[in-house]
Formats: sequence, structure tokens, C-alpha cells
Amino acid sequence: MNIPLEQLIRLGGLLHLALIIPISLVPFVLDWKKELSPLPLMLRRLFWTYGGFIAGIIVAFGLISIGLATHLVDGHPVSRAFCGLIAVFWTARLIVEFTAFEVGSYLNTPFKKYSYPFLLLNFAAMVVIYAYVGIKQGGI
Amino acid sequence: MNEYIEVIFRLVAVFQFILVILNLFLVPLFGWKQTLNTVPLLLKQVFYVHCWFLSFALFIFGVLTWCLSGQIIPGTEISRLICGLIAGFWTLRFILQFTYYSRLLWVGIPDRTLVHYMISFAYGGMACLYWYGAFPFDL
Repeated sequence: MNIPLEQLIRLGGLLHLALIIPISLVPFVLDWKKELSPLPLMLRRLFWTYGGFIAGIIVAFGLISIGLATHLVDGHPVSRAFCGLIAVFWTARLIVEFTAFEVGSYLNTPFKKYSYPFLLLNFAAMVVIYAYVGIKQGGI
Repeated sequence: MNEYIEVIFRLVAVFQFILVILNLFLVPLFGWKQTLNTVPLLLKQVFYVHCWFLSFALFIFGVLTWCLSGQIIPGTEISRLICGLIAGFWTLRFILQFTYYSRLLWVGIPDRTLVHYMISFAYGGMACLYWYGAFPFDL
């Protein structure tokens, strides 16, 4: 089976952009405004800055993947590095999900409970897509 | 001149690797471990995970900058777009340093004032450099 790499990268880009919705819900679900209020001002600001920039980076990965799909499959070392690093990024994110987070008590509504596996599938799909494209364009 | 541009971009890549290390040790550097124990567990974990992944994103910026440094002049489509996005990142970070982080955090505290101006200069400088990479012209 010969899967067109360019289309796969575009799909990866769309999967990144699809994360905008769950990411923007995180501060509300975890009630950041209330829970962070006892923290010192600088730490509180850093919390929001981290969150905002992580969201921005994910959107940027999505935009690069969609806008530069043709270039990202051209076999150039930069393209391979980009795909490989994104695959590592999401692999690490998936590992963290199972080793660092205790999300059980937060999955307290049917919507959260049933949408959570799709979030994990999204992470896993991005690992597979970017790893596959990175390896495939190396002629392996 | 192009060789100098390549060297400057490589230095910026190395600087971003240094930022990765600093960012990973921010909690012990500022003595925030105890303070973070006062927030719910998941929130604390989110903070650490964001810290790690932002560091990893900076690492990606560093690697891409290092790989692209030879293409900045005359500029390929991929180098220009990636430079543009990294430029946007550092421009926003520079703006936030003055608009989001309160002046109360550093005004009147000499070492913090120094750090504030140093990082503002670094963020602003990187933003300018990457904008140059996004819209290169012969110097």
C-alpha cells in the first residue's frame, strides 16, 4: 500500500489544529483562576504563559504541516528533522499521559469520559503519522 | 556576509539549547517546589508537563535553526516560514515581558531588574533575527 505522504502530513496538521478545542477547555475544566489564586504572582503568570505558548506551538506545528506539506516530504534533512522531532514530542506526551497524570477524578461527566480516548488516539495518530513520514522519506 | 549570518543563527540555536536547560531547572532555581505543593496534584503535574514540553519545543527550534542556518540567505520557502513562526513566538514573548508580567516583579530589585532587561534584550534580539530570516535581504 502506497500512502501519499503529503496527505498524511496535512492530516497530521489537522489533528494538531483539532487540539485547539480541548486545549482551550483545560483552564476551565481545572478551574485555573480559582486554583492558582494562592500562588505568587510570578508563578501564576508563568502558568498562563506556559499554557498559552504550548497552545501556540501546537497550532504552529499544525500550520507548518498544512502549509508546508509539500516541503516536509521532500527528503531534506530539515523536513526529516521536523517530522522526527514532532513524532518524539507526541511520543513523550503520550508517555506522560500514562505516567505523570492522574486524570481519573476529572473524567466526571459522560462528555469528558468518552472524549478522553479520542484525545489519546489523536496523540497516538500523530506519533504514527510523523514517524512514518520521517522514516519513509529517508527511503527506509 | 552570508557566513556571518549562518554563524549568528547557529549561536542563536545554541542559546535556545541553553534556555532549554534553564527552563528545566526553573522550579529549583526559584525555590517553587514547596509553593507548587499547595495547588491540586493535577494542576501541579500540568505545570511540570508544560515546562518540559515548552523546553522540548525550544529544543526543536534550536535543532531547526541549526539545520536551516545555511539556507537563511537567500532563503528557501521552508526556512522563511519556519523563521516567521519562530519570530512570531519570540515577538509575542517579548511583548508579554512588558505587558503581562507585572513591573512589581522586578522594579526596585536590582538583580531581577538586570535579568528582566537581559531576557527582554535576548527575546527582542531573537525576534528581530528570525524576522530577518523570514524576510531576508542582502546586508
